Amino acid sequence: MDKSLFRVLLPRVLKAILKSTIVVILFLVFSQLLAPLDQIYPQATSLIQTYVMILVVFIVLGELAKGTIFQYGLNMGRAFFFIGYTIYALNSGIITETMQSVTFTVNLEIFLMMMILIGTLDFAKSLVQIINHMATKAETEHVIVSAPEQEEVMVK
Amino acid sequence: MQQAIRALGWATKLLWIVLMVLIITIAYSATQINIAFGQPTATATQQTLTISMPVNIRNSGLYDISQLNITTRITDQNGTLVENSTLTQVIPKGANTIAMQTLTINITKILTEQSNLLFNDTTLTEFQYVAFDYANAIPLNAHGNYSLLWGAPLSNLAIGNPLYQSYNSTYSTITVQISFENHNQYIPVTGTVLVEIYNLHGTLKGTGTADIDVQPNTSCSTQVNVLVGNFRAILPRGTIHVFFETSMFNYGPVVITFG
Repeated sequence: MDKSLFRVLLPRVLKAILKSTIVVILFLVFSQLLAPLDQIYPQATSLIQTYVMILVVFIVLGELAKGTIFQYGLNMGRAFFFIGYTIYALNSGIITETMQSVTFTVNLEIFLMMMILIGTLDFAKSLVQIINHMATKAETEHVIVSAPEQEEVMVK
Repeated sequence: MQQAIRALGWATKLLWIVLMVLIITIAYSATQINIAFGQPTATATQQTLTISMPVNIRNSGLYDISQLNITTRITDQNGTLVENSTLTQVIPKGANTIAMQTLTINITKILTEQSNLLFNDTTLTEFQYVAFDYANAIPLNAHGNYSLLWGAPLSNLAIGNPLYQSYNSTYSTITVQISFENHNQYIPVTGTVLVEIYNLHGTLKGTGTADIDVQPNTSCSTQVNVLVGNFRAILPRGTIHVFFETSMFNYGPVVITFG
């Protein structure tokens, strides 16, 4: 492997591992706090586990693609996934569970709305970042292209 | 553009913090709510059976409970027998509230409309529904069906064939044997049994009564004597009409033919 590429990638990989570890630790702490939910809604833990696993994948890919336009594309994908998965996991906001002979129904639409809002804001942020990235890149290329021309003018 | 990106980032972080705080506190608080259904007590008064059930709600969570609605419905295979709802506006955090759920059953009305409940033991369905808004944000409800055993107050009702006995030269006595078991655990059958004897043409030939006092889960066997004039006029066939007039219900006639 190219030495310079290795030098670029190594800190990113380490950062990705660090971030993923923090996410997993946070998940373990929260899952302890939300343990009583398991009695009412047993699928909760597996749904959160799946979400955390996919989130870790996005974090690793995001870190590896840092500084490129793909990083923001991945963030947009994460935001999309977050919105879709939240709607699926919360069953569109209405969760029904039967324990023995008692059926519970919880309306979590307010949480769903907040999560969709977070996802939308995240998506918008990534979109603005893409525009910003492309604008900055175009500006830099323009400066690089126009710099020799200015030098020629100066010599003349 | 950088400011816009930064603002969107902060807004997202702020919303995440608010959401996490809400999720954790509400999930924690939800586990601190205790709803316990107390032992139901039944009071039988003038043709009315009142079943009271205390529902004890202890809200030890961090948020108020509002719009608490407890509904009880008792049904049999023919439909709803009785239904009642109790609404409590607010149970503040840290409060302990007892919501009394009372079912008032008009025994005469129910037993007249559904006479099979008088004679046949059956299984009724009790539907319990509890709904409330938690933290003024999360509507929650729970419901379940339970089986209730209904004991018939006139179970195994048997009306024997009339026995004729000469009373004097102009009158005779007809003795009718009546027996039943009161399988109901709440309703006493205390009152009078009225017997009417009709001849083949539907003419009333005589009446007789007997007092009965059959407490829940006991049986009864009684004789009703009917004084009739010239009993040969109603022989060989006729009908016996039996009426129950008790403190809890009136029912009749139960008609049997004889002869």
